[in-house]
Amino acid sequence: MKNSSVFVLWPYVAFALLLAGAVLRTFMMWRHPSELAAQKSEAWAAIRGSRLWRWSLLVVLTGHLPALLFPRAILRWNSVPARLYALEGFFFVAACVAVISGSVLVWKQLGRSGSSLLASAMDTVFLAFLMVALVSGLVVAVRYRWGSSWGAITMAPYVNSLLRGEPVVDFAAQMPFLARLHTLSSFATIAVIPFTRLSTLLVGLIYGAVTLTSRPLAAAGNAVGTWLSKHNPGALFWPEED
Amino acid sequence: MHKATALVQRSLLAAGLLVSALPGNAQAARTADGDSDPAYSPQAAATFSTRCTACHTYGKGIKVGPDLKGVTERRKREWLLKFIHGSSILIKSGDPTALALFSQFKQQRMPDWVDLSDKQVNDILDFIAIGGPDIKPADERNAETATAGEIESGRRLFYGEAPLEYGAEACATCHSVTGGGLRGGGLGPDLSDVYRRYHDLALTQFLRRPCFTWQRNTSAGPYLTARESFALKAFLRSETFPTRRATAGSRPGHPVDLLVRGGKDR
Repeated sequence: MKNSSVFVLWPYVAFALLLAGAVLRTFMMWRHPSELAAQKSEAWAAIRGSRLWRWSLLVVLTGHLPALLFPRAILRWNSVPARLYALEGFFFVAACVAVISGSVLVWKQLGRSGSSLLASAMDTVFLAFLMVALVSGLVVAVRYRWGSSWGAITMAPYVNSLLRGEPVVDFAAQMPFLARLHTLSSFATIAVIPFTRLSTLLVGLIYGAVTLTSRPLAAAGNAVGTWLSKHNPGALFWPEED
Repeated sequence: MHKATALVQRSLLAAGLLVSALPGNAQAARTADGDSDPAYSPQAAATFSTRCTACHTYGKGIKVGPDLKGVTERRKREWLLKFIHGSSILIKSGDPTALALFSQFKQQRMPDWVDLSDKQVNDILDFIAIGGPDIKPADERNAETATAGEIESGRRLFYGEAPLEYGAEACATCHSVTGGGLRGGGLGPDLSDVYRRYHDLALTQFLRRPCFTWQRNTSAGPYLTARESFALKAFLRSETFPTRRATAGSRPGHPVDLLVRGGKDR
């Protein structure tokens, strides 16, 4: 498969797998809500790691969003060298913390014995992809400095073109190997989520959302049922039957 | 005898100054860019070069088709627009001028440039009308002649301290130079030595193309003005030959530069 085709197809395949997997897992677990809570806590125990891990990962992930969605604002910010150094320095430290604390988590994960061998294996695959994405991102930051600036004019248009459904991948496909590895492993991390125990967290989210939206609907249905039984509108149409 | 020699020398100098001030010489030395001459369009120049010069000359006589010098005075603009877009239609319609040209040039018909918009054709005609083919674009000037101000202007453009006219991103977003410390990006190659590697003319051509051809419609739009291109070239030259920065513009010195750097050209 050509390099450019990978950059066109893989992101969509990854998100399709995430969506389809999440929906399928939700249907499979729908009738066993009691098991969901137990599996959720097991998944959380497998992935949560230390507080440093959670916060540093959150910072690194959310730090990518403005760079990819608002590249002009980032370029304006970076136009002053001191601000550029501060931004890059902050996220570099966060990424270093994420890599170190993530390594500790992976080490613990390898020694963990879960209820399902397959689920444990998929959790490890997920963490491995995540670590590849983190480490490659960190090395890119060192090897090709000021990624927040050049990423705003190379990767941001690529991501925007994916969101528009008209992928323009020429330049993303020509990026250095480490940058391509960072991009593709990030999508791989998303793609394997439904096959890990993390999917129960997704199912929990979907279950919660459905429950939350169905509750007012059920209440409205009950109210209508009560009103109908009280007023018996059938009598208006078939009075002789009373 | 000494006085006579001095008089002759002064006369020659005065004559030289007078000759250099004549319109013909001024024409030969004309330079233009998008900033100083609004009628001069680099895009029109490029289109003229790619579409017209294979068959036409400008002021050098008949090639395959007629000499285009003065064509905007010989023909009406409306007719020229029709002819450029579809000479075959005009010939078929029996237009006398088109028929005369057809027979004069061995019944060789000009291609119908239907893909060019009215604006593009008008820009080419404006370019011809102002004597565009005789105008040397400002970016073709040798960077050795740059003043300290032009080099500084190039430095500011390189680092994004001054915006580029057409909204392109500053070079330092992806590139660095030795003199800039950590300011430049690390994605693209270090440009400290680029002037030595490309030399003046090739670097001029290089700067005319946008770095990012992956963006749709980028190649069709303007990228750098000729003045910006020259300033960047001058800055890059000053980075390649830093010892000459202080005396930039004083005298040409490419061979000397090579000696200063103590190396052979690559």
